[in-house]
This record gives sequence, structure tokens and C-alpha cells, in this order.
Amino acid sequence: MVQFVSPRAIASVSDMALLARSVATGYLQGIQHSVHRGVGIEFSQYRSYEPGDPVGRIDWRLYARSDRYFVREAERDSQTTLWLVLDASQSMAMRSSQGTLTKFDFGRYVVATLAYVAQMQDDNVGLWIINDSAPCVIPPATGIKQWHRILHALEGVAASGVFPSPERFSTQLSRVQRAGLTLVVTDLYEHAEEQRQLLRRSATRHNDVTALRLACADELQFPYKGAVRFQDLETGEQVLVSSRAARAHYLAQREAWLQSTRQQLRQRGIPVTDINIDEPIELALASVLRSRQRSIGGP
Amino acid sequence: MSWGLVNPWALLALGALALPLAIHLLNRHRGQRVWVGNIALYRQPRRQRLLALRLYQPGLLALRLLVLSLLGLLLAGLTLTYTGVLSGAVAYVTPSWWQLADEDTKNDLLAAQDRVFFLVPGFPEVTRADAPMPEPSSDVCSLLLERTAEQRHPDTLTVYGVNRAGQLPPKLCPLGEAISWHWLSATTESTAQPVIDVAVFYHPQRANDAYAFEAALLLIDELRGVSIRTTLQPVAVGTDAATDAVDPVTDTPALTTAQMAEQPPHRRVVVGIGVPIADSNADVVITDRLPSTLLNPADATAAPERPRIIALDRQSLADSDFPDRLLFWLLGAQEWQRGFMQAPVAPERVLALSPPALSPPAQPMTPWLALLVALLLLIERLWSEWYSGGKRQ
Repeated sequence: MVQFVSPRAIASVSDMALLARSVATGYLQGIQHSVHRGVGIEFSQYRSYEPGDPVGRIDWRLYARSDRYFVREAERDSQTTLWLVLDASQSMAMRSSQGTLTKFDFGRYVVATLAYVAQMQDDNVGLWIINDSAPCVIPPATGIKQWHRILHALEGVAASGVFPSPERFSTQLSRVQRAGLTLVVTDLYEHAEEQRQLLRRSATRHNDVTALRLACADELQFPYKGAVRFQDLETGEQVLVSSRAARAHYLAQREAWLQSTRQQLRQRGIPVTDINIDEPIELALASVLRSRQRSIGGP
Repeated sequence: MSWGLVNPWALLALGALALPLAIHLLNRHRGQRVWVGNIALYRQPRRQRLLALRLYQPGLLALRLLVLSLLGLLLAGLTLTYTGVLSGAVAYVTPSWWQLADEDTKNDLLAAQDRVFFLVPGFPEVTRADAPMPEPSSDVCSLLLERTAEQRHPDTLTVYGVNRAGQLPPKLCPLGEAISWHWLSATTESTAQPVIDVAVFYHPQRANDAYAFEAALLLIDELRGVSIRTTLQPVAVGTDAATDAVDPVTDTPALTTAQMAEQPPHRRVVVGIGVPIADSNADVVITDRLPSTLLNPADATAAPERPRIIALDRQSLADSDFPDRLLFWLLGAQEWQRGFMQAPVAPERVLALSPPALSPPAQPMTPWLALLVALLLLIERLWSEWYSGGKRQ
């Protein structure tokens, strides 16, 4: 039986490197291998079959000759560049009343884990943390040192400010547009259309963009009672409502917003994966990777 | 219908109302604060939001204040008194007035008053001048107290009785000045010294006239009662068996019951009380000036007894227990004892009768209030749960 790492456990461990490695080499081991394989690769060598390798990759002829299982190792023609974009605006500081991780904390663990997976696959991986302060960019590179750089950057940033307008990061955006794959970890909360513009402008024919939309349990369930004063993390605006009367309206509003943003981004070929930050991180990452598999026509 | 409180001081507990009110006012602009990423999703139409906050929260507050108020009333012992209402000009006439008044006077009364009732138990309404006189009843004030306890008279209440009493009856009756008194003198209006006929006596009299109770029982008309019921009891003077007992008054052997049966006591009017109004320090004089129509027909031909004179000062007349003491004075302690010897009601019980209460009988509302409070508390809980979203975090 698979044991997931709960958000509470993540909060108690607080070792991002250890946790990302554990998640990546544990639950994701059987999933992540197929993400970047299949197209544009050349044979490199055989290696012994390991649990988790798909049976279809076993070279049966070699098995007939040697009576041992071997799988074909491939070497890519060119490495994939993965940009991990993390929304660090103040709205990402939201968390559930019973939760232990904010959206930003959860996003950092997701980014760290995906970066680890990428570097394990020898992919170029870069990091872009966006808020209205000075941009934090780790240019794409490979190797464990790059992962450590990413970890260092993630640990040094806190959610603050608002999401800037796309004009402020046009230079960085042009670099992202040339990457092969971009994962944007965000809550998709925006004041105008700054996040959707970022996603739309990042999505080019050279770059597949996926949005990981983070939400906490309170946002999904609206479990409040009595009079509640909601206050915006970024603007400070307050709204005093009766939770009983506001619940249905909120859920309807939220559903409409979800459908609207999903529809708009899908029209630009940008899938949106919704992640509940109060669920185990492996489930979130697995849904991300499976979503990627579907989008590239994998199994 | 009127309300009363057993423990009015307990209303001080209503000061507790300030507590939820203060909490409400302090928290009116607070509410549980929740930080969110996108406030736009939480905005409601203004009208809907205001309705929810203004209707439900003040509603809950009002309900809680109501519960606390009812608890205060519960502690204060709220009582309810049910009374009917007789509006307009209402008059009560005593049977003696009805008997003595001429037809013109009666017609005038019926024309002047909206409703007229006999001042007798049951209070039958009088609509015609030729209505028959009901059975006389003795105690005007007790009847008035009973009537005013059952029926409220918001406009005017007038009592028509016999014996012009000056200030005497209002002073003796607890209802006092609340009632307009109209007294018809049993004697001529030109009498210089108005007479108050207050006493009619049963007079057990021995055949040989060896001794005579000048009073055995007292029927007091137009005065607060020495208990009319008691005076209506049959009276016999004597003992159950022949004994050596000696009548202390006459120093003669006491009569047995059998002897009394052979010589039953008979009713005889012997005295009245005359009060010279003009004299502020007048004495009460027992007279024989009662109308002959009140005499027992059996003794109608008998000669009046020699009047017995008892001196009372005016202060005694104003005393609320004057009739009781009058009875003692008239009878004397030993006569009193003998007069009631075989009566169903013991004199001690008669004396123990408390004067009629001015207030109508009050119904305690405590059980109903407790039930209402429990019901409101249940509603408050359900409402609160509903308002809170149906479940707690």
C-alpha cells in the first residue's frame, strides 16, 4: 500500500531536498520515466530491467538469448528544457483554516520535486519566481547542482506583493517561449489578466505550457460559519458576509471562474490541472505527470 | 386582564440584557476574519449581503434578548389576572334599596346608568323597574370586592344602598373612594340625625323570658362583613344533653338541644345603630328604628326589645375590624360562645377569616413562561445552527 506524504508531514519535515527526493524516487518513480521518452531518441545501451520499467520496453530477443530481462536505454537527440514558474504573489500565502501549508509552500515543494525529476532525467530545468519585487530567475541547466540552486532560490523567497503585468517580464518571457516545456504553479488569481497573459504568451509552438492551479480545502468547501469578514491578501479589501447566505453564491462564482479560465486557456492549448494543497503532494504531482502524458499522447 | 409581579425586584436581572447587546454591538463590525486570495469571488450582491447581515444577526439578537427578558419575568414571578370589562356607567343596587325606592327613582336610575345589577351573589342584571327584589345579601363590600375582581369598571361604578352613612361605609370598605356611594335613608330625609341600620339579630329567646339575648348573631348589612355566610347559619343555643351547665348570662340551667327544638330561636329585629353625623365625636346608639317590614313576620306583633346601648367612638367606627368587635361588644364573649355553640361554623373560624383581598386572584405564569423560554431557546439553537451554515468546523 502506497504511503503518501501528507501536507502536515511536509510541514513537519521542512527539508525540501529530502522531501523532493523522497517523493520523486518513491511514488513518482513509476510515472515520471515516460514523460520525455518515445520521440526523437536513439538507442544507447541495454540495462537490466528494474521494477517500474514498462514491460513493453523489455527486449524480448535479448531475453531469448540471455534468459535475462534487459531494457533499451535511449539517449535523446536534444535535451528538453523545463521552465518551472512559481507565482509568488501575496495571494499564494492563503491556506486552509485547518491546513499547515500555504499555497506558496506547497508550490515550492511541487517545484522542488519536479526539478528533481527533471534533473534525474538530465533535462535542463530553470526556475522563475514571479512577484512584483525583483525577479528571481535560475536559468536552465542540468545536474544536481542546478537542483541545489533551485532549492536555494525556493527557500529564499516568500510570497509577497502582487503578480506584475506582463510588460515587466517581457525579456524573461522571450526565454521561456523557447523552452520545450513550462509548468506554471499558481492560483490563477489576478487583478486584470496578467497571469492569463503570461500563460498565453508563454505558449508557443516550441513550448508546451501547463498551469497548475492551486487551491486549498477551504476554497473548495467554504466551511465557514456565522458572520465572516473576508480580506484580500493582496489588496486588503474586506467583505463582510453571512456565511450561510454567501456559500451558494461563492461556490457558483468559483465554479464559473474555474470554467471560464479553463476554457480560455484550453483555447490556447494550455491545460489547467487543479491541485488541492490539502491533499498529499504525490497525488498532485501524479495528476500533473499523467496530465502531461495525456497531452503528449503517452499511455 | 392584567399582569402582576410577585418579585418585582427580580426585574433587576433584566440588566443582563446589556450583556448580549454589548457583545452584539462590539462584534457588529467584526466577524471571523479570513484571508483569501481573490476577494472577488466572495463579493455578494450588496442587497443580498445586507439582508443576510441585517436580518439574521439582529434577529438572533432579538431572540436572545427576548429569552433573557422572559427569564427575568420568570424570576420576577409574573402573574396574570383575568377580568372582564364592564364599560360605561355601571350601577349596583342592594335589595333593600330596590325595596325602599319608589318606581320613579328606579326608572331614573335605569335611565341614568348604562347597566344596573343587583348587589347579590350572581349579580343579576336589572332591566326593569318592576324587577322583583332578590334575596337579600348582607355584605356589600364583600360582594363589591368579588365583582370588581371579576369585572373591571373602567368608567363609573355607583352603588345604591340603604342607610345614608355619610363617610362611614367608604371608610369601612376597602374599595373606599373608588366607588360612588348613593345611600337611600330608610328613614325620612328630614331626619336631623341620620340613622344607620346595620344590625339585624337572630334572637334566641326563652319562652319564660328569663333572659334574652339581645343579639345572638349579627347580620351586618352595608358593612364589610363579619362573614355573612356565618350569619346565615342556623343558630341554636343549648347543649346536646342535659347537664348541670349553667348559662353564664342568666345563671340558669342551659337548654338542651331537645329543649331548643321545642322552643326554637326565632328571628327578631331588635336594634339598629344610629350615628349622629353632625357630631364628630358621636357615640353609636342602638335603637329600634328599623323598618317593620324587616321584622320576622312571626314576631311582627311582638313588642320591640328594650334597646341596648353601646357606646363607640368614631375612631372605632373607622377601624377596619369594627364589625367584628361590634359583634363581640353586642354579644359579649360568653354570649358569642353560646350563640355559636351548635352552629356549623366555629367562631374561631369566623374570626380567622381574612378580609377580602382587593386584588383579583392572580394566575401564576411561571409554567408557561418556562415552557416559552425552553421553546425559544430551542428555536435560537436551531436558528443559530442554520445561520452558522449547518455544521461546525
